[in-house]
Amino acid sequence: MKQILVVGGGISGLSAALDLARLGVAVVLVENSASLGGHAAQLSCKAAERCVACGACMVTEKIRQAAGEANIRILLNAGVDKIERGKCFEVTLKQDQQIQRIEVDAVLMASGFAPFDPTNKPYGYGRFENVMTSLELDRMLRRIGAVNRPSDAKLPRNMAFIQCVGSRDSTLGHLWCSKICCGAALRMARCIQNRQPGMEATFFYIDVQNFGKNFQTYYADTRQQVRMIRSIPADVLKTADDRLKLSYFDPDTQAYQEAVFDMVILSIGLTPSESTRNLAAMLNIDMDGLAYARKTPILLPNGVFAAGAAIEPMSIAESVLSAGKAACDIFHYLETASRI
Amino acid sequence: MTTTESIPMSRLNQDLFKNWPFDQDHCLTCALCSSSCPVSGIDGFDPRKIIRMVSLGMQRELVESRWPWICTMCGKCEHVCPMGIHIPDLMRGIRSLRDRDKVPGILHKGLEAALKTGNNLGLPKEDFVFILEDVAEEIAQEPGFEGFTVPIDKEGANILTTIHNKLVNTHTEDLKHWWKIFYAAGEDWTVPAENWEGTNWGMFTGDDPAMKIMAGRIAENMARLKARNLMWPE
Amino acid sequence: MQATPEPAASADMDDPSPLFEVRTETRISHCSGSAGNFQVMLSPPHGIPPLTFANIVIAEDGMQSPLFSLYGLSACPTVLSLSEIQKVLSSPPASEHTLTSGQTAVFMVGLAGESYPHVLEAAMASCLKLQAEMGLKTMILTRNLKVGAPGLEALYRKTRDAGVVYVKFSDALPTFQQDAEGKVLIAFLDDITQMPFTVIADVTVVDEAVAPSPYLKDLSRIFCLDSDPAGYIQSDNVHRLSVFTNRKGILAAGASRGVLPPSAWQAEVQETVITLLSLIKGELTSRGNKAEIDAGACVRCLTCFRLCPYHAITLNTRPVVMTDACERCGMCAAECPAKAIRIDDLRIQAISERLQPIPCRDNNASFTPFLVAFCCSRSAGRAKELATLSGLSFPERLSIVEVPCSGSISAEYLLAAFRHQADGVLVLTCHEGNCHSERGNILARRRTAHLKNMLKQIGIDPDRLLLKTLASNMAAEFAGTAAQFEKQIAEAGPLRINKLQRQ
Repeated sequence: MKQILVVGGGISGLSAALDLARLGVAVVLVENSASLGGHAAQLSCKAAERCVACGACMVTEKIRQAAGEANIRILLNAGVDKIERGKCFEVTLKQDQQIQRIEVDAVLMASGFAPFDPTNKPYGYGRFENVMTSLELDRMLRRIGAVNRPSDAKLPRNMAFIQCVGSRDSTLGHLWCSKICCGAALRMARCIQNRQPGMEATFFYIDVQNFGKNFQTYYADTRQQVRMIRSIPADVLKTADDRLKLSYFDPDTQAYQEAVFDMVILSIGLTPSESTRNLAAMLNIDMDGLAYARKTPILLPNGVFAAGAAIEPMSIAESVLSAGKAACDIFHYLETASRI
Repeated sequence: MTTTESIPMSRLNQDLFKNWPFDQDHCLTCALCSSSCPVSGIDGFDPRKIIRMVSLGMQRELVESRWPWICTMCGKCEHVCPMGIHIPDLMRGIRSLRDRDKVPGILHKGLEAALKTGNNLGLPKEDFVFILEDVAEEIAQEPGFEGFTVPIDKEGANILTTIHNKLVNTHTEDLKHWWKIFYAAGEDWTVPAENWEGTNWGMFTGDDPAMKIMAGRIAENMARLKARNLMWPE
Repeated sequence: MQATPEPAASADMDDPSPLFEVRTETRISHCSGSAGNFQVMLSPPHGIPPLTFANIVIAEDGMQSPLFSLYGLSACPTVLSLSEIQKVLSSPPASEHTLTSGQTAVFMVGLAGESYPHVLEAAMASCLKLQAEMGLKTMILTRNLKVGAPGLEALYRKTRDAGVVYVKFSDALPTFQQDAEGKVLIAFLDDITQMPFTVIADVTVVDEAVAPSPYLKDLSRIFCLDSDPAGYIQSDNVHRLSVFTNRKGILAAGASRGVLPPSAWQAEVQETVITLLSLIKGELTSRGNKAEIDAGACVRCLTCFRLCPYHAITLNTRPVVMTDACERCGMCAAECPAKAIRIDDLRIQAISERLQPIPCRDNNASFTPFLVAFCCSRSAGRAKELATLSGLSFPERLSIVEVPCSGSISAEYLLAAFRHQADGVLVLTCHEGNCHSERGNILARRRTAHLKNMLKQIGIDPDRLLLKTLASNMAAEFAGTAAQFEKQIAEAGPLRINKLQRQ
């Protein structure tokens, strides 16, 4: 029976593991955190009056199925220490200081993304409690089913969403659009408005990216409920009464404006994860060939595959598709390899 | 800038400023520069307008526009720009396009005076020295500062400092704060008696030759007085 | 279109039978049967017996229709669609086009309506070629620059370096005037400089609306497939991802299920292949008791046949459930007017057994209501699991009755709960649009609303029955809803059903 290593227990790793396990391939799924589901498992349901097909709930089901799948062996709090190439891959795994050595016929990098850290941006992240990242907001919403201000637990009457933080930025070396942040922020704003009526949301953007089926209709509707300002604010300061003052250029009035909000949400971009970099180093893969801003299709050595946000920014639905592609590639590879 | 007449794109040559090395063609129109600019919105000023006009090759409009002259050259825009566009340099570049006699009055007069006399005010050497020594006397009368003198044209000092012209014009009191610090620290410092001007309106007006002359004079002073460090507060 | 999937493994070359057969100029006229055994009639030829297939993949190409009329333009040699200019640019230089250096070419991308990254990419690539290689001056007019795809930010930069001019619009759009020679005068207010410009386009390129093939309408009818609002044969439901439809054994791939950029074609094909392999292996069959129709009780009203979201009921002399396709949603059983359909573990007797009241721990304490929550297992069931894992607590006298789909939650169940002395009854379903059986939650909502009216008539406070929608990852909301409901019912006091007891 063929055996493969899947590095990463997020939506992509789980999906690919299930696809292959069901076809009789043994899968060792290695996840470095204490739980499965990756970032998708941290996201909240974004339904307002109806489901918006964000895909966050899909991972719950995948975790359940993977846990019950005989051909998948799951290792949590585990990482890859070393990979050596012989007739197959000799992998040294480390789980809580314990070493394990396994042999696999193929390796799937499903090591996801790292969210951008906006501490060095002039938005007060890390200094002002009521400034948080979109991911932190998602986690709060998922954890308590509501959104309140960290400093005083009051419900925010208005919230600002600042887009493209850490994306579309050549000074950071991030010459890419992270793709999913417009959808995440707009859906989240509408979801919060649905649960906490009266909350006013303002969306500061450069170019709105598509999300979901029927984007045009949803976007037209969203513009009625969320104030869209095509300008990125430059500063966030705290007021005397513990609110947040944003300064921005208002394209409608062609004037410099200051606006005060109860909370400021930074839509942070996706970057390649450290896990991906480490794996690339172990497998002698040129990281430029794996970088989000690469100019060519991804280039991997024989027997090594990649899926999901380890490759480039993508949504949950796209990650599932990417995992399916990888699973098919791996299945084909294992079949041809066995005939040699 | 008000114009109700449409500008035909055929009149514009986008290659006009292609060689300018300021990355102006990378602008995403994100408005971070506009949001950070201390003078944005004044008379409709928005740094993006200038950047776009350069990209489009709108030379005539740029030369005639007041906008490039509203910029304070603070550099905050460049600091926040995600594409690293050198916006203040771009402004300078546009300022350099104007005939010198069309440069805004006060800047033009000041620069002319500086090129001729070594400072924007056209202040003669004797008057300059008199003002400095007068302020020094006032300091020397304060308790703890007895014996204070201002070292003019001293050779071999650790620090040579330039002087902003307003400090010997309308804000002479402001000289005292840092001179007292020098004294308390026991610093070995000096001020040149001529070509002491710290501002450089050649830089402001996009006049590179003038900028070079002004900066060159400071370098000459450094060499002449054999100072070890230059302090250039501007 | 292919009726048989291309296998992932290569064939044994000694086997003379063809791996796949391609029939062109052929349409589907009829389909019957169910997963594993579809009978499909093709046309032409007419009149021959149907072919049998285990699984079906629908992969119709999409349609592109140029948006000339939206800009008040008419197609002519110098006013082209994006596809046409791409064709012109990809053919060798000797072809008859009139593009010459010095001309101005203006592209409209996502101006009348929002566009797609792959459309912008096509426009940018064309402009790059025209500008950098052929010496034209190009412009792209757009609303939102769709750079949300790999490599597009870098390509955008490359086109800017080459001198392509972009004009982005937010609200006010440009005006267009086409003259007799095919030139277009475009007037616009530039959003950034706030100045008015005009440009005379020697060549004008209009983008195309992306739409599903009109054939999908027929296929939807023939194969009994749900469509989304745009007409693609996959509903906008995460349970269908990636290539499933509401029917077991029928997959929708590529431009049949939504807008698909060319860069995603390969992934789409491979996902379809891997899904088929799992299907063929029987790995995707749902387990558990399937619906059974009691032939003796069935009155052939055909309600179940019309209702089944999976079209798992076929009509012989009587309706028969095709067990492979049945997903145990229970809608048929709940709606059957003759009560002729049963799913073993979802019979009212089985449900009633799960409704025994939880005794009070402390009889002297203030009133702790006995609550029953009917939960769709896919949403509320999973959320409960997550809640327990997260250490959230639930009311001590809450009894949870999980069912595969809220579509099976009949009025009978709800009344049974009240009959078993439930002080409050919760119905927890998936959000609208998130139900695996598409409409189970809608039916549950309707029944609950109807029953609330009935409760009023028989003297039970309708607020003792509450329906809420949830997703499988909403653990906090589940616990919160339960706690809130307990508080509400505790305040309302114990249920008194004197009228019912008299019966």
